Amino acid sequence: MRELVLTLNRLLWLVPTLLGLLAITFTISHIIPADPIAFIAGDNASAEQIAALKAKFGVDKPIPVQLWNYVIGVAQGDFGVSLYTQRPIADDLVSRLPATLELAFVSILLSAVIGIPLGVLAAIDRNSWLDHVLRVFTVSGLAIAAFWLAILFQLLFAMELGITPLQGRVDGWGPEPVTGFFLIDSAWTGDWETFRSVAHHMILPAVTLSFPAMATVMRFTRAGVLDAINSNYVDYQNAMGVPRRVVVWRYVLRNALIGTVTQLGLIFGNLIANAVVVEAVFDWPGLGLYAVNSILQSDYNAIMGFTLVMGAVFIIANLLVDISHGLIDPREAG
Amino acid sequence: MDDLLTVTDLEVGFQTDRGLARVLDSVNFHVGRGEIVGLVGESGCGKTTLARAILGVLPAISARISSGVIDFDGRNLLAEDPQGLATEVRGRQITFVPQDPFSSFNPVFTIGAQIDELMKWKSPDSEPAAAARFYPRARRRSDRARVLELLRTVQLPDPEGILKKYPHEVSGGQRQRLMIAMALLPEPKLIIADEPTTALDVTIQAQILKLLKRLAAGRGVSVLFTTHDLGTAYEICDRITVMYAGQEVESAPSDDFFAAPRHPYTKRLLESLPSREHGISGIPGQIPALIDPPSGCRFHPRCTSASERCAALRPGVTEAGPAHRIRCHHPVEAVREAAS
Repeated sequence: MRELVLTLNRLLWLVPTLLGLLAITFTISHIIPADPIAFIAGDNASAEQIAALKAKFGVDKPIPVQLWNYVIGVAQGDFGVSLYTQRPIADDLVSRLPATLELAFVSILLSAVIGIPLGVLAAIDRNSWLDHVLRVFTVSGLAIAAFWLAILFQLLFAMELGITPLQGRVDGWGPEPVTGFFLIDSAWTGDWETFRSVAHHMILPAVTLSFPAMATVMRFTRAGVLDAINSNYVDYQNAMGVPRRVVVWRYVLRNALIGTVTQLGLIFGNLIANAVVVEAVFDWPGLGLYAVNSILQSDYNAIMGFTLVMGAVFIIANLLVDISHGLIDPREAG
Repeated sequence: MDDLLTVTDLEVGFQTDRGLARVLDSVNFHVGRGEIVGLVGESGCGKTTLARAILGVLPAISARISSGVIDFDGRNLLAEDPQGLATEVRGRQITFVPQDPFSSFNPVFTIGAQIDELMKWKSPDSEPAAAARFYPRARRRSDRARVLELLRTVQLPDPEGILKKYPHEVSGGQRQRLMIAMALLPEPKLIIADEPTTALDVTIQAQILKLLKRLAAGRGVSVLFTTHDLGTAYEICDRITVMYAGQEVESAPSDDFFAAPRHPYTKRLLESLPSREHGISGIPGQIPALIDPPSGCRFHPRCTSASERCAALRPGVTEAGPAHRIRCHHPVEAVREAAS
């Protein structure tokens, strides 16, 4: 009951947080020295034509009025139209969000499934050669820029070895859209050929994205395990002769994961930020690529829409982290 | 004499940044069957190290056992395979009651889950050699009955309810009762209790001590009980062994110990207990550093009876009376206290 109230409370906080985010993005995109109207109108437009365009997009009004109109629109699910394609932005966001989320989920799954066991191994065999190798791996994972790694992977695996596709999300049209998650949709309809193609295309971008995330997961798991392994309850179980592997993989890991799970929420934010460049390199038709194109075209309605959606995704991810925290650690649930 | 545990000439050192700390210097120690022995000394005197050496859980990286014999029930624990000791001896024949019952429970599992895990491996009905990869249902049921029975014996209210709770949801006294129950569940021959009441309120301390004594005596289980508090030792111990700076100095039945201490350190220790007549008095000088300890008897720099012999040679074990052993060249005269 208490948990439910807390969760609802957190959900309500979404609204002011998003409003704040909206106000900031709106302000930034309106004070940057770019003129999308001039961009649309072209070089030879007359003053009347420009005025007409301004009226059409509502940018002739004072900025506070524009902000107000925008907030009202967003509340009704209307993010305005793209200054560039004239399409409603909400439609673009909805059609592209699943591609980004799918990539992000696969990456975070990958980094947890590989990063957590490696972190445990590094901790229980502290200062072994494995620990040193993994340390090099984590430092480079955090230091290497995603776009550079993406290009290296493309050169090696797609161009040189030819074992992965260079870019894109699928060969052909992709599965019949149900959820927009291609892996789920193709598995749902039993279209395993498409599923394989999607998975094949997924490998390079997902590995690129998961590289820094995996490094963080590994570091925090290692630190958590080291912390737990020096605790009194491990000492007690050891003194009572409970086998060490049981103590480590059952008891220590659960405690160590509290810290790792907290990090997952923050990692998710980094992942989305990295997704923007990784999607651009791999021509992945998600929100990141959309954002890059929108920025290049000074399409600020689209940029604001992207920022809001990503902000909401980030906040929801952290909400989920808080909830799962309560499940792992009974002291949190209170 | 048929002792359950006999420690002979045990030497343990700890590797530190400044050199080897000689934490146990040729220690002799024993626990009889069904006997409750108090191992008393100041912080850093080596009592916990001795207890952990017997359990076989000294930190592997820094601790060095250079010589000695730990004979437990006819087997030399120091000569045996550590893996075998963990499965056969630890948690089965020797169990442990920790100092801090709160942090010795894993905070994110229920108490029931943690007791189940212990019983899965250490139930008296289970074979030590058979790796408990799974927990047979019949044994799980009989173990559960045994657990509930024992929780009632240690006077915990609502045993079924407690098993469903998390460690932070029960009181400190209840947690230590649980620890005592867990130490008794495998039906051990020896319980090692390392300052089991230090983390508790004074009022609860006495209850816990009486409980431990009653249950151990009722089952004929020996108890090795470390404490820095002579009063606590007096409450429950049949015999008391005093350690000073890594050396055992005196071991005597409790009554004898308090009435007629023979080692100068013990005598000064008893005199330093706060009393109405002379308030609080200490022993002049300081506990020596164990990296470079005094030669011979380590107490000699602070001892008023010390002679050159004390610095040159550590005294051997001498019988100062029935079951009363001391290591001193110049024991205090055994003057029975005049009738008060």
